[in-house]
Amino acid sequence: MADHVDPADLAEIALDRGDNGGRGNSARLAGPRLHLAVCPECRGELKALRAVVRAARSAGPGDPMTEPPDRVWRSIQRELETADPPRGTPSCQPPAAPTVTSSLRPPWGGHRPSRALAALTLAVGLATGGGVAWWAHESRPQTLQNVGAPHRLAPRPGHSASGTALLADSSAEGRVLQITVHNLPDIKGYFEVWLMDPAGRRLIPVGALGEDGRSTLPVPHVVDLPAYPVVDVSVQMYDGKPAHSGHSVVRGTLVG
Amino acid sequence: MSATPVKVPASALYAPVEETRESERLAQGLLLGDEQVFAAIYRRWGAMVHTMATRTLGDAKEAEDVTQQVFLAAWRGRAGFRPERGPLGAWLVGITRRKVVDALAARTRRARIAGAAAAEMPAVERWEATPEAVLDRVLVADELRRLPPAQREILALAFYGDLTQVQIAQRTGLPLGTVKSHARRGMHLLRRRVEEARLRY
Ligand SMILES: [Zn+2]
Repeated sequence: MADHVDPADLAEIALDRGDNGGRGNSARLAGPRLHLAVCPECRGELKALRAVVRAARSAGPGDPMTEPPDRVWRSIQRELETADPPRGTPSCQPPAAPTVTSSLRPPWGGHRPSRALAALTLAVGLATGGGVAWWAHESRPQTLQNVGAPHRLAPRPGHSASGTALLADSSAEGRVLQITVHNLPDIKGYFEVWLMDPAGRRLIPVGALGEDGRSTLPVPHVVDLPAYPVVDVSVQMYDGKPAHSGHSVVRGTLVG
Repeated sequence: MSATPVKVPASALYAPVEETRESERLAQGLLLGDEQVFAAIYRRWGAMVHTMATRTLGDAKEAEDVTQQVFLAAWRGRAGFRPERGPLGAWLVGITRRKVVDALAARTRRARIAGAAAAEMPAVERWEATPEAVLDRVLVADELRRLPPAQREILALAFYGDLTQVQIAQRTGLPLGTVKSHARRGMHLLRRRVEEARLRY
């Protein structure tokens, strides 16, 4: 096989719209194009460059960015002040030391200090301890009651994933389905959780799995669980199609 | 080719090293819990995140909520940021994507609950373009405007002016080799940014 395509030529080919045929040097690029036909590596490179060109062209030359209104930053500060009260420990300084509180400047030139952020800084040693996945901090705190028995989710043909699903009552969201799946395949899309009737004909989408394969999803009481006892996790693409893809990874049933 | 030549001083063609250094400084500060740095991070990426949220959700109020959630999650989850897994901007794009997907899922859920009396799965409101495509587009637009002016100009001529590298050289008066190397470098930077972000999806 000849040498790989010169990166500048590859860039040129990626930029070619392929519909005008007017690019003066298309004859010069005949050799590289022949090489591309037989070299998966160069085709991979080209594909990646084309994705960039497509993104840039769909954005347009002066694609404006939308600055968030000032109130967004203000409510971030407010939220940190009310929702993250300083965690007191013997080793922690009192949060309201004035030298610290004045250090935060809001993004657009104001001088509003944030006591909570300063306090958080002092408490940062506490927050960083342990191996808690970062997204665990995000979810609203909820306590679960009447936690039911875990039901096994078995792999579907061609998959090695497995997991558990259980029902519980959440203080924050009412009835919830707590689901955990291990060994999820590596995919481009996302995983959707469904409740199905035993015949597998009728489906209710419950929500998406988190990237760690876990989710606690509300199941409103209007959903008649005995009629939809099967839990199914499917691979979905971001293709605008809300229907079940037909590609299931694990499945189990909530009764018995 | 009727337009007037765009003259580009060769001195303006530098790699965006400073931009990278600044990102690293911000990443370090975030890990240390420096709240001034957090404000600087918001200044640097607030518009990108907000534009992503606005374009994917199409609803100003929801977009503001998502923007707020992204930065709250970044601050509260900063201990989980691993610089060795990719730069700060890509991490923020990853959080943005998750928050957007959550917001869309919540919408689906609301639509479903509204129609839950019907036994058949209700028609669900979904987005037109995929969130990833929208995120890529905003990310590329944001990175483009941060390139050194000359490099940006060369890429703009290639992307939007539909000029070949030879034509860009004629038009700008720059040596062909310079045009080539900067087109290639600019495209590879954009590509790296897109791929770094995709690793976080
Ligand atoms: Zn090759």
